[in-house]
Amino acid sequence: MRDTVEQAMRGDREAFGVLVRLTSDRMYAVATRILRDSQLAEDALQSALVTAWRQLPTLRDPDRFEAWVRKLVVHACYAEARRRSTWTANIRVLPIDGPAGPDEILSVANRDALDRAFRRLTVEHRAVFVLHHHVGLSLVEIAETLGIPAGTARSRLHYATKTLRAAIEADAAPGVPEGRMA
Amino acid sequence: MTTDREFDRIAAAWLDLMPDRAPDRVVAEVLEDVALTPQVRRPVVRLPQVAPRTGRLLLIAATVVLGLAMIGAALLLAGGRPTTPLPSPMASPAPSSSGASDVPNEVQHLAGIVKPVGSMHVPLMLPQAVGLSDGSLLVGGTVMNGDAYAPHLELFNPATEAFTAIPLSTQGSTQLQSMVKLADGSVFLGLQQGFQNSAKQIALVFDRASSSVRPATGASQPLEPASQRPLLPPGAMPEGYPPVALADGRTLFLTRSVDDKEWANLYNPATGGLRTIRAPLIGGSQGLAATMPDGRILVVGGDAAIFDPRTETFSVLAAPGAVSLAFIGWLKDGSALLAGSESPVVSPDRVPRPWTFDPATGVFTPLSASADASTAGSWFVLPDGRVLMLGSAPLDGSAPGDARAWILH
Repeated sequence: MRDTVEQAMRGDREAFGVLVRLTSDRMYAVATRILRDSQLAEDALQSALVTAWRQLPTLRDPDRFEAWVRKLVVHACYAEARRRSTWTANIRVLPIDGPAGPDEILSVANRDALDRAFRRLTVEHRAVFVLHHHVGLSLVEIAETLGIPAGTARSRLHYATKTLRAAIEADAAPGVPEGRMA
Repeated sequence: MTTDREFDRIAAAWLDLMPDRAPDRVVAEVLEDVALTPQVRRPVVRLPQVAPRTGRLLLIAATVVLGLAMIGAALLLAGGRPTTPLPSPMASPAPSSSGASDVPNEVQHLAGIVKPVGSMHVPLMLPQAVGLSDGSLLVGGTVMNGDAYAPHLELFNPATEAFTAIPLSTQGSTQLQSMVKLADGSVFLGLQQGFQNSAKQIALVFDRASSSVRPATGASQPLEPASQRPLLPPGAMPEGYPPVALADGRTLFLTRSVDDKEWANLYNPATGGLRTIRAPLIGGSQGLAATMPDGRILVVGGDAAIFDPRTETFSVLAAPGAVSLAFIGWLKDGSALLAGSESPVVSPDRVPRPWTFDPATGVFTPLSASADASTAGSWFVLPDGRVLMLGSAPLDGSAPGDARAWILH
């Protein structure tokens, strides 16, 4: 992959096309999870990848290409979120593939509670949560990706986790329907 | 009550529900955009910094050099010249902007006629220029030889309209990144040797009296790169447009996404704060921003706007069209000269086209263009008020480039 990145850094558009096909699925997955909107995620992905092409000659370490693009994707998600002032009103329902999970750990109630609570988080909190729980980055890696102090990454993850966890537990508590149909 | 482990499993399962595959349509659109989008190289030159014991004198010398350069620029400004951002060896100029050099930004009345002059010895990538006290112009850039870069300098004599190559010897792959005129008339040259993480910064000085280049510090060994402290505050994300220094000390960063630019950031070094403000959509593959004589900022890309630092608002103008701007200079009557080429979508032959802009009316007026000067990507104002247009070489070495030059009369 390093050779391909270096070719693209020298202006080879075909090489960059190879890189786009290699990474676009993973980047799209990050964007959809942060933005919770397929159209916004597509816009963010497109913006980030074209920015990556334009800025590629400034990449310091070709081996860090994917991490660098992920950073651009997250920043593009921030921009998309800011662009849509009525963001929460424009949420589209994302397609759900398959059953909840192999061990049925995710109930429909949990899913609803997480959906609602996640929408209340800022895009910055969402990004940290997704990078940790979906991409599997450590707090140090998240801080590096987002260009924030590790302490900030830790506090954002703590807040997001606390919020989502509270939503699940509130949903599970008897007599607290939280607006859902009985 | 869920345990940490249970919550992690629930969260992972919930996140796994969402789609993982980017639509083919999006990938296709990205590749279409890439086909029309040029890459940018915004080389970053940092002040040379050496080990603490051996480098203190060098650091002091570099600081003095910087101070002298800033004092010189301040004296120029105090002399009544139009406001321009101060040059600094720490901030490399925009790829095709001549605004960072010390060339006077006053242009005589132009008829819009382009005439060829003598050619440079080689076509240059990202040519820059500095006006010298004797009226000549030091032109510098980088040439590509195979996979290696080498800096190259030429002296342009406006009287004879001829170029003279300046001997410059460097080791390894080295790029010229910045040129700054110093108070004593010499020119500071910032170079980067090597690539990526192994890159080293070299500081040289061009001496006009001897027309020769010497190490800035008296040492011929490359200096260690400075610390990795970013030159720009986190989140500024400048793209496509160079940062603009405002008269009140703040810096305006214009940001944009793929083909639009909706946000700007104002950075205040006094507070260390970065604030995002709304900006109008300004398209175009490349644009420029320049300080107007009244302190407002003219921003031109595919569209145009004026930013007023006092109100922190943008006023949208009717622009000349989708252009890749290379130059903004100010005429003595207060209007601006803009030069660049129309975007490849609008004009495949990319004929460079000058415009004038009247700040009073907000109207852009095209001057005549020359198909012969179709590779002129860099524009510099000569001390006599004419405009030198230089051919250039592509950054990726994909074409041989053009060493010819023209003067816009």
